[in-house]
Amino acid sequence: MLEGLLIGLQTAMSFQNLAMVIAGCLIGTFIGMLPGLGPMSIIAIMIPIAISMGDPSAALILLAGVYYGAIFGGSTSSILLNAPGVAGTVASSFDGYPMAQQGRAGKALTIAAVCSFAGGTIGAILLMIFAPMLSSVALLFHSAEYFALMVVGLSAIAAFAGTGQVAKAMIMTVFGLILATVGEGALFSLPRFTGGVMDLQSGFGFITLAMAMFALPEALFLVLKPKDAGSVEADITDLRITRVEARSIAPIIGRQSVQGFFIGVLPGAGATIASFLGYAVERNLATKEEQAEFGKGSITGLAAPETANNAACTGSFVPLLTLGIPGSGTTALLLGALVAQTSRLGHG
Amino acid sequence: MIDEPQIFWAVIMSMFIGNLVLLILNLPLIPYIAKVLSIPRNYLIPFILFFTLMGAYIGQNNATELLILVGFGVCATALKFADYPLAPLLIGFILGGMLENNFARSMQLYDGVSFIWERPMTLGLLVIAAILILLPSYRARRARARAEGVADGD
Repeated sequence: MLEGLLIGLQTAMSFQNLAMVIAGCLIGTFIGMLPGLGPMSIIAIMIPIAISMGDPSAALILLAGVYYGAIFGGSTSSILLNAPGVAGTVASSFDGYPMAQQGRAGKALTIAAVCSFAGGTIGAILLMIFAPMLSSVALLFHSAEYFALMVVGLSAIAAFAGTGQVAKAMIMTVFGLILATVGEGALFSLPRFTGGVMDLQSGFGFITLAMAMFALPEALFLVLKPKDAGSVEADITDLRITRVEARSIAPIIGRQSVQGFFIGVLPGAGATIASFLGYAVERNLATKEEQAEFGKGSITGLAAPETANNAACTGSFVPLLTLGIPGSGTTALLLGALVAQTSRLGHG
Repeated sequence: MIDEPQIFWAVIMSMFIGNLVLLILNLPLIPYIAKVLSIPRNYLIPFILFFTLMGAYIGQNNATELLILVGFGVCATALKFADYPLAPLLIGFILGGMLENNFARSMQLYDGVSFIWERPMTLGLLVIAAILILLPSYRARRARARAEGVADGD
């Protein structure tokens, strides 16, 4: 392993590859900040450039940089504008946006950056150690387990609802489930509930729904009820995290980077479920006073999904790098870029 | 583990470097990014509207999506006024599609729902789900019981 590390370090530290990492991260972060452009679309745009490099490791390094840069940048629009562009950063807006509204935008962004860094780094360490072992476990997960995992995700919804809002949350969940049935069914490729509209054949788009649920109501709310939209008084550029806050975040980073990583390893589960479950788990573990804060600008409620989604992104590289099986749409694109250069991953 | 270990290790090392680069590059930028919020709302709102409409159009590449966006957006605003949480709807929508696909596939494979008890991991996860659903109400009941107990003791 040490030998491999050295080879890797040597390759990664070459001028070309260093430039690729930095370029990838920057492009990913800045395009990722725009709502609506998720990692998938950015990577798709970048593939021709990556392939023209002619070096598979440089290409993969560039695209991987774009990937986690986009997740990193995606939380910015979640926190500042309540407009998550990627499903994996939806949970970051639950507490990140209230924080920004209270004039703690700088702190929220700092926490997001630090937690993303910690989640990604710990995820990479876990990837180094567990990748060979995990690849076989991930294959044990069949549709039945995925179904059960989704049920776990849904059952965690009670955790998102504030006190006395559980019934309302349940109603909204059922609405969501109903909306998910629009489009072609799973067993028979027949259109359902499309009302004959061709554009609905493939169902509602995630981004459309995310914008309709979060960003648009926010803007309309401000227009309709301008009195509530008191201007932000506090210093929004204040970055400082106090020692007490750091102490409350540290255990969350520890737990969520591990949990997020292992959820990310499962093909198809990925950053979205990792961040939702991370939020739910931390809410359940929190004390009563902290629990009341969740959803109203709790730093722990922001730290949990931010750590988890970055760790899960790293985890999603496990099946790709060890078995050559893409675990998500994004890693499928990465694989496609590599195959185009006739490089084989996995056991071949 | 891999036919080309060089790629595997190079990607992992680049992850460490990339994460560090992101942190170093972004921390100094945060004050400027946060300033977005100090833009007066009359200017910010059109921007939000523009980005939401653009995002929806890019995501699906058809104009029907814009009508859907506005339609749902207006409904969601009404729900927001009624103090309904909107996040669960989105979670239900994201998980619902995956839930259905996997459930349908397992039903086909096992010719029924026998996979629920035949696969230990599935059963384990479903038990966790049941605990997650029941835990809040159990906690609330216990807290109530304790509160009553204290009242009796007085």
